[in-house]
Amino acid sequence: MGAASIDLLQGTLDVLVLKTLSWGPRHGYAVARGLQQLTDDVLQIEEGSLYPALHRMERRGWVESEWGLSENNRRAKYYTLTTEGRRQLRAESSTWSIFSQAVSKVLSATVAPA
Amino acid sequence: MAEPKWRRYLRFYTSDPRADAEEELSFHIESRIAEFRASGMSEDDAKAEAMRRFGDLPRARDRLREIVELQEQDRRRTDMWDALRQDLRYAGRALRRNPGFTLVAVLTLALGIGANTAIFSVINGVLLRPLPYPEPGRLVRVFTSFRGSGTERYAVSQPEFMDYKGLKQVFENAAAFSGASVTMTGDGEPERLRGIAATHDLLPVLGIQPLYGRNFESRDGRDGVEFVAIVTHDLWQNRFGGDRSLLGRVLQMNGRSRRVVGILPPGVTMYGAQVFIPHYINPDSLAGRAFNYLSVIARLRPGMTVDRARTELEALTRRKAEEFKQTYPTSMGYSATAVSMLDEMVGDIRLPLMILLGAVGLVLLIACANVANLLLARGEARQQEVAVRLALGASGRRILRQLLTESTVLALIGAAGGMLLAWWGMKALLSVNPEAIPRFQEIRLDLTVGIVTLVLAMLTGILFGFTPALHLVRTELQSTLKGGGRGGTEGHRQRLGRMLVTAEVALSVVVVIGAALLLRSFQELRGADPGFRPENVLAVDLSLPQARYDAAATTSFYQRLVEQMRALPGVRMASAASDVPPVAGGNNWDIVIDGRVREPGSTAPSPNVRAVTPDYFRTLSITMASGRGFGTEDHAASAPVAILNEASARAWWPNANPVGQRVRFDSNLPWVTIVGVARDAKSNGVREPAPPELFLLHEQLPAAGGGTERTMYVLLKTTVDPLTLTLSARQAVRQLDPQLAITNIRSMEQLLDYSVAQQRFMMLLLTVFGAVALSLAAIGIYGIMSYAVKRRTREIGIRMALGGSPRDVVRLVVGQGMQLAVIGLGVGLLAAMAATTFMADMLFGITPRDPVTFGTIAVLLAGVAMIASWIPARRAVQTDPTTALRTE
Repeated sequence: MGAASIDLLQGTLDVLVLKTLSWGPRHGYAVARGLQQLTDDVLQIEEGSLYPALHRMERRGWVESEWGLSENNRRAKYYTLTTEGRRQLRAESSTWSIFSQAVSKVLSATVAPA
Repeated sequence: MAEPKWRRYLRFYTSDPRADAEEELSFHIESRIAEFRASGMSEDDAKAEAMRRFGDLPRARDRLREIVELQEQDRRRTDMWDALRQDLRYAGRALRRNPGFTLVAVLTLALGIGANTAIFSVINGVLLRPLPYPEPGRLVRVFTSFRGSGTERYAVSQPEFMDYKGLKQVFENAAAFSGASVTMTGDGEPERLRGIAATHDLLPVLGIQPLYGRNFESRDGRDGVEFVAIVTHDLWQNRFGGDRSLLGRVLQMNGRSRRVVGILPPGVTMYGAQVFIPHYINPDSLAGRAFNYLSVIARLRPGMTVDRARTELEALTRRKAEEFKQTYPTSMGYSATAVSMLDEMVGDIRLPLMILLGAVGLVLLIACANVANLLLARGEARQQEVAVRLALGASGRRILRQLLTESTVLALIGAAGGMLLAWWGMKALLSVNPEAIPRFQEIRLDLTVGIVTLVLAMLTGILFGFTPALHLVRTELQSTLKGGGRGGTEGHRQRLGRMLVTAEVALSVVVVIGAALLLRSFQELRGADPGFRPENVLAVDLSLPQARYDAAATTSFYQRLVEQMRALPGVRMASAASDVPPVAGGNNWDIVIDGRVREPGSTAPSPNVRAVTPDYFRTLSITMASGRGFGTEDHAASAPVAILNEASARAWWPNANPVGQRVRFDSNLPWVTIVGVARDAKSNGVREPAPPELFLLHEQLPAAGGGTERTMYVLLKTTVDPLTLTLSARQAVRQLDPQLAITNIRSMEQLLDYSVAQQRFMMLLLTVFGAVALSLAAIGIYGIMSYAVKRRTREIGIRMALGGSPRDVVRLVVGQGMQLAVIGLGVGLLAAMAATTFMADMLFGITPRDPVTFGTIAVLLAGVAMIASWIPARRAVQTDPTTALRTE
C-alpha cells in the first residue's frame, strides 16, 4: 500500500468514525460493528486501525472517552463526540461530497472535453 | 489545547493508561469472538476470524502506545503549569499576608541583586562586549618596546612602522595614527575637536566603510594634494544637523581648508575621535628611526594568534637591532609587542572590576543569609499551615516546591527593584565620574544584563530559600511522626540562625576591610604631596594652528597672553607650560652631556622636555633645590638655559651638582647651560615617581631645540576661587585671537581629581558596598538576638524575679551575641587576609594587610555587633517580670 492511499484511508476512516459517533457515545467495538453494518461489509476496514484513529482524535479533542460498563457488564471505553468533533465532521463531509460529486461527474461524462 | 483542570483527577481511577489501552483492545477481540461463537462458529474459527478482521495486532498496539505516550506528556505538561500557577498564587497570597516581612526581604534582595546587576552591566559593557568593528578579535595594537628601561608599550617611528607592516605572514594590514587636536573655525564658535591623523588604510584595517562619501586614498595627505577629512556620524549630526551637503564642503581646520570626503556610520569611531585626517608616510623618505610618535593598529591574518605575532615581532626586531646598532644600543633592549585592541583599552580596569564583582557577590551572600534568617524566624508562624497541608496529603516535596516558589518570587521582585537601583546608581556614578572607566558609553542595562539578573535572582531564591524550607518541612514531618514535640528542632533552628549570622559577619568583614583599604589608600593618594601646590590655579588648554603660527608668532602669542592674563583682576601670577603635573603626557628627547663620551651600547640620557614661561615654577609653588629659576636675564636673544628636576640630576649627575653643566639635543644645536635644579613634581600622577625632566624657556625653544610648542597650558595663580575666572580667561584668549578654540578650562585641583578618577570610582563603589554589607550584618545580628531574647523572655523574667540584676542579664545576652560576632570576625579576618592580596596593585601608601585597617574594622564590627545585641537585651530587662513570666 502506498503512502497516498494510507492518508486517504486515514482521513476517510476518521470521518466515518466521527459519523458513527454522531448518534451517541459508543465503545470501539460498537463503532466497528456500526461501520460494518452501514457499509454492508463493502468497505473492509481493518478493525485494528480503528483504535489508533480514536486515540488520535481524542488527543486532537474531537472525541472524549470515559470508562463504562458494556451491555455484557464488562469494562469498556466509551467515546463521545465533542463540539470540536462535530464541527470537524461537518467540514469533512461537505469536502467529501464535493469531491465525490466531482469524481462521479468525470466518470459519468459522455463527451470528451474540448 | 488546554485540558480542563478536573482531568487531573482522572488519574485517581485510571492509573495506568497503557494497561487501559491493552484492555480496550482485548475487549474488542473478545466481543468479536463471542459474536462469532453465538452465530455458531467453532472456538478456533471464531478466534481466527476475529483476528483476521482485526488485522495487524502488534502494529495497532504499538501505535496506540505511541499516542498514549504523547497524551501522557501533554497531561504532565499541563499538570506542571497548573501546579506552577497554583504555587505562584499561593506565593502571592503568602507574601501579601505578611507585608512587613515581604518589604524587608525585597529591599534586602534588591540591594544585593542590584549591586550585582550594576557591576555586571559595567563588566558586560566594558570587558565582554566586543569592539564595534568586524572580527574585532583580529585587531591588535603594535608597540615598540625598550625593555632596557622597562618600557613595554612605546610609540613607533616611521621606519619601525614600515618594518612591522612588512610582516605579511602575520598582519593582513597595518595602519599608523596619532592623536591630533583639530580646531574647527569658520561658522560660529571655534571648536576644538578630538581628531586622529591616520595613514590612509586605518579605516580598512578597522573594517569601517564610510556611510556617505569615500575612504582616504593613498594619495591623500601628500604635498600638493587637496586636504581632506572624514567626520563621524556624531559630529555630522550634532554640529551640522545631519545636513547631507556637508559632504564635499570645505571646512577650516587648524587654519587650513579641508574638504569633507566621508561621513562614518552611526556609532563608529576609534578612541572617541570626531574627525579623521590623512597622515602620509613617504616610504622613500622616512622620518628618523628614533623619532617615535606613531600609534599602530593592525589586523592579524585569519588564524594568526597574538602570541605568534609577538614571536614574529621579536624575531624581526632582533634582526633590526643588529642592523641599526647606532639607534638601538644593546642596553636599550629594543623589541616590539602586540596586544589585542580590547586588552589595550580595558586591560587596566579588568582587575578592579573583578574585585568589585567579588565584593558584590559577597554582599549578595550576606543579603541571602539575612533573608534566610527572616524565613527561618517566620517559619514558626507557618508551621501550622504546613502541618495542615501535610495532613491533607500534600507530599513533603510538593510543599518544598511551594516554599521555593515563594522565595523565588521574592527574589524576582527583589531583582526588579535591583534593576531599578542599578540603573539609577550607575547613571549617578557615571555622571559624577565618567572618565574613570574606558568604554563607559557601552555600559547599559541590556538584554544580556537582564537575563543574567533573572538567572541570578532564580539562583538567589533557591539559595536563601532552600535551607529554611527544608527545615520547615522536615520539622513538620518529624513532629507528625513523633506526635508533637518540637523542642529538638527549635534548637536546630537556632543553630542554623547562628551559623547564618556568623557567616554574615565573616563575609562583611571581608567587604568592609576591602572598602576600608581603598578608602585609606585614596586618602593617602589625596594627601600625598604632589610636589606642587594645586590650590588657586586655573589651567587653560590651548593649541595654536600651525598654518597661522610660525615659531616667532607662537612665542609672541604666549608672551602676550601671559601678560594679559596677569593683568586680570584676581590673578596674582600667570605662566604657560607644554605639560603640567599630574597629567603630563611625556615628550622625551635624547640629550648629549658636554664632556661625556657615550659608551657604545649604552642608552642616551633622555629626559622629559617641557617648554615653560619664566614664572612656571612660581605659579605652581615649585621651589629650587639648587641654582636659580628662569629670570629676566633669560630671553629669546640670550644664551639658552635649562632647569632640571631632581630626578634628572639624580639620574645623570648622581655625585655632582649639574648647575653650570651644559647639554644639547643635537650636534647642530647650541649648548644649553643648566642654571638650576627644581624640586620634583609628580608629573605622571601621584602614584608614580617623578620622571627625569628638563625645562626650557618657551621663547628659547626655537634656538635650543629647533622648533616650537604650539599646544600649551596657560596657568593662572589666583587670589580667588580659580573657577570664577573662567569667563575672563576665555575673553582674554578671544581678544588675542577670536579663531582659537579652548578645549578645557579646569582648576589644578580638578586636574588632580581627574588623575585619580579611577581610584575614586573604585573607592566610592566599594565604600557603598561596604556600608551595605555592614548594615545587613548589623540587621542580621539584631534579628537573631531579638529572636533569641524573645524565646527566653520567661527565663529572663525568672532570673529578674529571683533578684538577678539587669546588668547580669544584659551581659548574658550581649555575651551570646558577641560570641557569634567574634567567631565571624576571626573567620572574616583570615579570609580578608587572603582576599586583599589581590588588591595590592590598587593600593597606595598602605599594604594589603595594613594592621591599622584590620584592627579598626575588627573593633568597628565588634562595636556594631555589641549594639545590635544590646538593644534587644535592654528591652528584655525592661519588661515587667510578671508579664515576662506569663509569656509561654
